[in-house]
Order: sequence, then structure tokens, then C-alpha cells
Amino acid sequence: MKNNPNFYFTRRERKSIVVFAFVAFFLTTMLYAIYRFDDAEIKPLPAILKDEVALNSITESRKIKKRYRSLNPNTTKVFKFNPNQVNEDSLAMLGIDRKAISNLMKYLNKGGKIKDMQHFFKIYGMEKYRNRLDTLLEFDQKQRSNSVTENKEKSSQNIKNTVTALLTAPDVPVVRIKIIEINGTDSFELQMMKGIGAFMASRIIKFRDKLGGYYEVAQLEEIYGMRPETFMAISHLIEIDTSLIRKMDINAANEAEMAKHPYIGKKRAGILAKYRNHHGIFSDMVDLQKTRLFDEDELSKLKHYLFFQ
Amino acid sequence: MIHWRLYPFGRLALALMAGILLSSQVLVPLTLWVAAFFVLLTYSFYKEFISAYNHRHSLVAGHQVLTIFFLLGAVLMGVHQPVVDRKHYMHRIGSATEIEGIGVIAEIPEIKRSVRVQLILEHLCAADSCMEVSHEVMIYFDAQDSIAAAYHPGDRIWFQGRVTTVKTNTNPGVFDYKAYLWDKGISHQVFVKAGHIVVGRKGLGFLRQQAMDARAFCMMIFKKYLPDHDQEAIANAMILGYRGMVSEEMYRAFSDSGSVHILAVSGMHLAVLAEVLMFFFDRIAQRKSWVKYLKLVSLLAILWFFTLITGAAAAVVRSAVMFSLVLFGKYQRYHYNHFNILAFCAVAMLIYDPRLLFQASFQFSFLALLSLSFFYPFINSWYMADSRFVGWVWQYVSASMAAQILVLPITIYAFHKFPVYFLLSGFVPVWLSALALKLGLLIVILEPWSMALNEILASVFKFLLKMFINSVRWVDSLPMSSLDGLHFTTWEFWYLNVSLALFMIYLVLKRNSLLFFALSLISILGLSIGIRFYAASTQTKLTVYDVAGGSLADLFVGTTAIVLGGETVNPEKAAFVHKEHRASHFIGRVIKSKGCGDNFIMRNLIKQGNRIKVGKCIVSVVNNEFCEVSLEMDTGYGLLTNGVSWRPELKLGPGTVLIADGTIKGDNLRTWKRQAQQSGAQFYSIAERGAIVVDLKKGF
Repeated sequence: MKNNPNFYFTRRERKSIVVFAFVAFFLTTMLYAIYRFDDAEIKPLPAILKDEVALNSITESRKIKKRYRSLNPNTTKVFKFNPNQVNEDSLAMLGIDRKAISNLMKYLNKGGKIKDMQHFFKIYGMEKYRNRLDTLLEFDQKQRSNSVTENKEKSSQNIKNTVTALLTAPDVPVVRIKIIEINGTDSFELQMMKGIGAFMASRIIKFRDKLGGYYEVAQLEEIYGMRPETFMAISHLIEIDTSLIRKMDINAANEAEMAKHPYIGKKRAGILAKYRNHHGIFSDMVDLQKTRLFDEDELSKLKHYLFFQ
Repeated sequence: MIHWRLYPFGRLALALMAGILLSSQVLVPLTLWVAAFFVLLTYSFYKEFISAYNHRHSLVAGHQVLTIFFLLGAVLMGVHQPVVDRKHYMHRIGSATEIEGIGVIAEIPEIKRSVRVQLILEHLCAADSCMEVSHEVMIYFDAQDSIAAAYHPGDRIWFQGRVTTVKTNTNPGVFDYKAYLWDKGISHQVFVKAGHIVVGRKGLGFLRQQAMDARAFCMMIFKKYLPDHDQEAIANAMILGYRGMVSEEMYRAFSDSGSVHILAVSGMHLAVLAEVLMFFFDRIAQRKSWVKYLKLVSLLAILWFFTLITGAAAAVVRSAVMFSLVLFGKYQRYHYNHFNILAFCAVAMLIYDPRLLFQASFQFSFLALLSLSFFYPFINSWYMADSRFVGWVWQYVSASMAAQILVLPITIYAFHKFPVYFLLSGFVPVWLSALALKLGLLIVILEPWSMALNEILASVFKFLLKMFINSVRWVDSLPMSSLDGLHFTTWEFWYLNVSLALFMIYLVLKRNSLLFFALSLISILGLSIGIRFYAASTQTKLTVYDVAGGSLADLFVGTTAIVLGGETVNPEKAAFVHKEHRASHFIGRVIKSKGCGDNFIMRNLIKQGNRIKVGKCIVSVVNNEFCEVSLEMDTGYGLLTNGVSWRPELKLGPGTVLIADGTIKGDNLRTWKRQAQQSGAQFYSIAERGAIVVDLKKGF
């Protein structure tokens, strides 16, 4: 059969098909050659990790933090929280809208304190979440059975165990992880940690400067924009030298200086200044307690930053 | 006459697929395929471009061209085998049981009984030095590992753990997970208990990483607006192609109601996205010609980025390629032919990765569209509606029916079921899902600009999703929503496919001989099923399943199955293992054997304690209940179950066949083997060699 239509191709079609097949064959042969003849490179493990850390800090600094700040797809959906200590991202994970979160944060930043559930739902925008959140609120830190905290502690412990095991196992290649002393470090070193970019590093430094230094790692959670996962990832990489904390003389500091301290704030600084003028200098923390401006938790935090002359 | 000139890629696609299929089935060295291809290609190149054109017999020239593509398929299949790649980690692992390495997380972790992660292995390490490797590996972390659960695609991790090859499931009729993973280049799995750290991020390459980050962003938006887990899971599956959150029960409901295709991102989703985008693009004035091209390029870029976001499955890639070509053709006012574009997509995708031919996503996607394109005009023309509404309804009915025709054989062959109410699910659920899809996409697009509007849209979105899920559940709850237990042998599957192909050719050529052949093949199919059914009515088979940590066996006597063991096996696991095997043997009745105190007589069968006499054959179940009559086992089959240990009272003889199930292991197994050897009995261990089906009429 000369011109069987099922097997007939024009000359032009045949030429095109031959060229197409040739190009496909050429590309396939290249791929085959790469598979067969490209020797596997052997590198020392520390060199691979060093390259990775350098790359990590560059890519993190390019990240658009505002867009991805509160987003993380892999966290617990429902967890108990203390409204006086929770951060924005955790609230976003619970499905609360930005407006309501913003209202709560403004209230807390101005020195407000949520005393009970009724008080919490009086925050504008929170009432509509009553059904979802009423069983999740916690107010007593000592009895806190926050599943997020438990998970964080467990995970943090897992990481610490892993790192310790790695560092002490005799035959296992050691992954050298740099431990950073956070009161003496700079922002460049902070950016070497996973999850810490230029913005977060600068916030850590700013918060440290305002406080005078950190006395415990958990304070990092108070930083604006610090996600729970980021905190979990870096907490085992941080150590603290409390001798570097810059303390404030509560009796010598003026109102502006006291207002700058995150644990005091503007309003309380004004009251403290007036109280000091009327009642004389503070001799110890007991005197400070008498002002009734701080609860026990706040006082336990403040004691690291104050000295009484 | 079939006008192949209108579909130049049609024949080429068929030749390419034939080459890929043959190469995968027949063991021919790759170098032979490459040599044959190279020789034929060079000869054709010489004939077409260099030699003076004298009249070339078109039949020979045509065959030559098709053979080139056939050999190209064979060569591509050979080159893409994972073993060819010297850097594949399987060449390095060998018989090691523990490994440590560095790799990049490729997909969002799936959290079910454990945290399962697909990882692109980059380095295998030992003693502080690492070797470059390639290809993906499956890693399993503890279910409680919250760090692993929080991994994000692109995270580069260091890990160490226990490594094993992916084991084949030897149970008859069960999904071959090993083959499925092998088609993706995965040969091993690693179990990591502790000892994994993130050492870096953004390791997936620029485009893919951006796509994964965008997917995570979109998933978080749905998480924010959809507090209900099922709604969130369906939204993620439908819009983003992430099915890790869909529960098994929900998946089964979708599958039985004929709506499971909605959960897989495909052409419908791309069409909806294109519709949403065109709504915005059409608002832009098109006075200048470059604006038209800019719109086209932007639309294609977004569609392809969406393809990457949804994981670039075969179905959505096929749709994206077709969309690109059709849109380009429309903008350029070229004539285009859907069948030719479909064939071109097949050729392009198979040249890129010939292993796609064996993936269900690829097969269903192409067959469904081919079926729809071909049969829809014929079915739609059967009825001319008077009213517009009835016409619209008939359009959807004919489209649903058309799409099912070529997909039917593979649905039954692969999934052993058929959704009876597929027409019903083509109405309400599909419509609701299309609306929900549009809203979901709008919410994602508007999230950075107007969250207040999104709050309103989200409440409508939640309502639509709720209605959609309820409609699927309603269809699923209807009586006989799914015909289960359907089974084709490989031959029957091909009879049906070939008869459908002949029927399609008949519709084009109108030659009665083709219809005759098609109907003949259908008759042969019917005859084959009839023969199998008749054979099943007189069958006596013993099947001992390979079930980890448990004992399960079936004795088929006619269409009745007597279940031996199974008390220690999870019912879901048991159903997974025996369901298809029983269906393929037309089992209509199941009797649970209750051990020693359970005696009964059936046609051709006497059960006394743990001893069953079927015709002339005796099957004794040896477990920790030693009934009097089962102690003498000098003839027939002895089924060792529940970890039973050897007892001296047992009498074995040369006529005995001992089959030890998966609970007989270690020292116990060695003891049984030794005793069997001493008494001249035959011995088979499920733990060592996998499940077994013994035809009692033919013997062991």
C-alpha cells in the first residue's frame, strides 16, 4: 500500500520529527552522561554547615517579614494562653482578627492588665470570640498548663538532648553549633541563628538596650514579632551572662529614664516619680511593692534591673 | 478515514507510549535501545536532509518515523530509571541499617500515625565527611515530634536514623506501595527517633521555594478563616492540592459518591482561576497591542505559578500546558485542535518524565479529557431540548456520562469500585465546589488588601464548604452509592480498553467490522468473567495473609470464605488486606471460625475443632488451642498461627505442608523449620517469603 493514510507523513513532517527526535535524544544523552559520569563530591561536614549558615543569613535578610510574620501553617490550633503574656502571632493562630489583636496589644502596652475573662472580652472586637476563647484563657501563671508551653518545653528539651548527645557521642560526627551570649552579642551574630533576620535581630538588640540586658532566655518571647517556633528554634542556642545587665538606680533616675524601661512604662514612671517626691527614696523592693503599681510577677522581673542607693 | 494530518502528534504519542511500555516490561539493556535509536535516527537524518530525494516509499518512511519515536520512548524510560543515576543514594546505602545525612524537606509534613516527610537527600555523612547523593527518601518521625511537624518545605535538616528498603506488600490484590514510590525514585525509608536539626532554609531552588512559601501563606489564610477541620482540609485539597489533612473517612465518602476528582487540582481548577483572573484583566483597557500580550503573559505566569503551588501533579501540569497552548492560539487567532493539543501535552510530559505514564493522575487526566472531547458531541446530540434549562441540564448529564466512558476500565481495575451516583454528584457537589473554589481564590487574592471584606467573604465561603461537604455526604449515604468488589484481570482490562478504542474508531469511520470486533471483545470479556465466576463456585483455596503482628487466613470454599484467625488483627488493617482478594474470587459469604468449640458441616466441608476437611484435603489450624483432633498432621496443610511453639505431641509426615504465618519468627521459626525438615514435611514461612495462595485442588 503506497499511501496508507495511517502511516503517511509529508516530507516536511518527517524532517520536523527527525529534528525533534534528535533534540530530545541530545538532551536525554546529556542527562544520561550526567547520571553516569558525574562523580559524587565528598565534602567535610563542617564546611557544608558553614556554607549553609552563611546562605541562611542572606536569605533571611531578604524575607518580607511583614507578609509572613504571623503565618505558620504547622502549629497547634487550639491552646490555652494568658492574655497578659500572649503575643500577636499566637493570637493570630487562634483565628482572631488583626483589629482585635491590635486593640488588646495597645491596651497591654500602655500598662493595662487583663484581670479576668469579663475584662478580656471587654476589649473591643474580642466579644465575638467568646465561644471559642472562653475555655482557653488562663490567668494564674503558676497553675499554667498551657499545652503550647508544654510542647515548647518538650521540644526545647528534645533539641537540647539532641545537641548534647551530638556533642558527646564519640563516633558521631559532631555538629558544632555556636552558642551566643545574648547580652554581649551584636546583630550580625544574632542573624546567624535560624529564624532571626535583620529586623528581628534589631528588635532583640533594642529590647535588650531598653531593659539593660536579659536575665533569662524566656524574656525573648516578650519581643514584638517573636514567634513561638522561632523561640523554640533558638532558645537552646542562647546563653546569658547576667553580670552584663545594666541596672538602673531607681532613686536617681528621672521620670523619662524610668519611662523608657519596658517593665515600668510612662504612666507608672510618672507615679513613681511623684511617690518618691512625697515619700522619699526607695530602700528596697518592699518599698516598691507598697506603691501597689506592680504585681508579684512584675516585681520579680524588675528586681533584676534595679538597684537602690 | 482517520485524518491523522489534523492530529500530527496523535500517532507520535501512541508510538512513544508503546516504546515506554515495552521498555518497562521487557529486559533489554539500555545500551541496545540507545544504539538502535542512534542508528535509525542517523539513517533518517541522512535520508531526509542529505541524500537526494528520490521517491521514498511512504509506508517505509512513515514506519521509520514512528519507530524513531517508539525507540525514543524506550531510551527515555531506560535513562529515567533510578538505578541509572550513580548518585542515587541506593548505591551508597547498601546493607547499612543506620544512616545520617543532610537533605531538604520537599513537601509539607503529613501527620497521621507518624510525621511523614518527603526529603530530597543531598549528602550521606559518616565520620565528619559527607558524600553528595541525589533523589528523594521518605522519612518518618515520631508522631509526638512537634519540631518535625513544624518543618517547612525548603528546610535543610541534618538527621540520623534507621534505614530500610520500602517493602513490597505481598498480599494479593493490594496496592503496591513500593512500585508507587519507585516510580518517584524513592527506594528507601528512614525512621528518625531523635537527632535531627535544621541547619538551613530555602533549599528548594528559587521558583519552587517561592511556590511552597506561597502555599504555606495560603494555607494559613484558610486556617485563619476556617475553624472547622474538615472545611479547612477540603479547602486546602481543592484549592492548593494539599490532601494531607483530609481524613480517610472523608476521602472514602468523596470516592464513593464520585466526587473525588474535585479533591485533585485539575483543569477545572485552572479554568476557575483563569475565569477569576480574566474578570480583573478584562477591566484593563486594551488599546495598545502590547497590553494584550502583557495580559497573556501575566495570565500564563500566574497559571503556571499556581501549578507549582499545587505541587505540579500530572493532571494540573497537563491542564496548564493545554491552557497555555489554547490561550496562545486564541490570542494569535490560530486554528487549533483539542485532540492534537492533548497529544502534544502527552508527548511533552512523557519526554520530560516517561514514568508519568504509570501514574494514576496522568492516566485519569488524559483519559477523562479524551473521553469528554470525543464522546460528548455524540451523547449530546441524542436529545434536543426544547427549553434552555433542560438543555443546560442535558449538557451536564452528557458531559458527566462522556467523561466516565474511557475512565471506567481503569477505575474498576485500579480501585475496584464504581460510583453509581456520579451523575448526581455532577450537579450539586460540583457546582458548589466551583463556587467555593472561586470564593477561596478571591479570599487569597484579597487578603493582603482588605481583610474586612475577607471576613464577609469567608462567612459565605464557610457556608458553601459546609453545603458542599453535606451534599457529598448525602450522595454517599444513598443506598448502593458505590459498587464495591468489582474486579478485572489484566486481560479483561485490556479487552475492555481495546473494545472501547475500536468503538471510537467505528464512530469515526462507520465501518461495521469495527463494531463487530468491539462487540466480540465485550463478549469475550463477559465470557471471561463468567468462567471466573463458575470457577469460583467450585474453588478451594487457602490464602495466608502477611499481616504484621497478627494471624489472618481465608479458606475459600466455593463463594464462602472461612476466616481463620484475625482476632489479633485490627479490623481496618484486615479489611485492607483481604477485601480485593475476596472480591476477585466472588466471595459472597464470610464465616468466622471460632476455634475448638466450633463444629459445622457445609457442602464439601467438615469442620471439627481446628481441623477442616475440604474434599480430600485437610487443613489444620495450629494455635495455642490444641484441640484433640488437630494433633495428628501427617497429611494435609498445617497452618501455624498466633506464635504457636512446637509441641512434641504433634505428628508430622512427608505429606504435611506447614505454613507459618507472620507471628512465627526468630527461634520459634528455626525450631519449626528443623522439625519439618526432620520429618520430611514441606515448610513455608510468611515472615520470610510473604503471603501465599494455595489452590488445594492442585496442591502446594
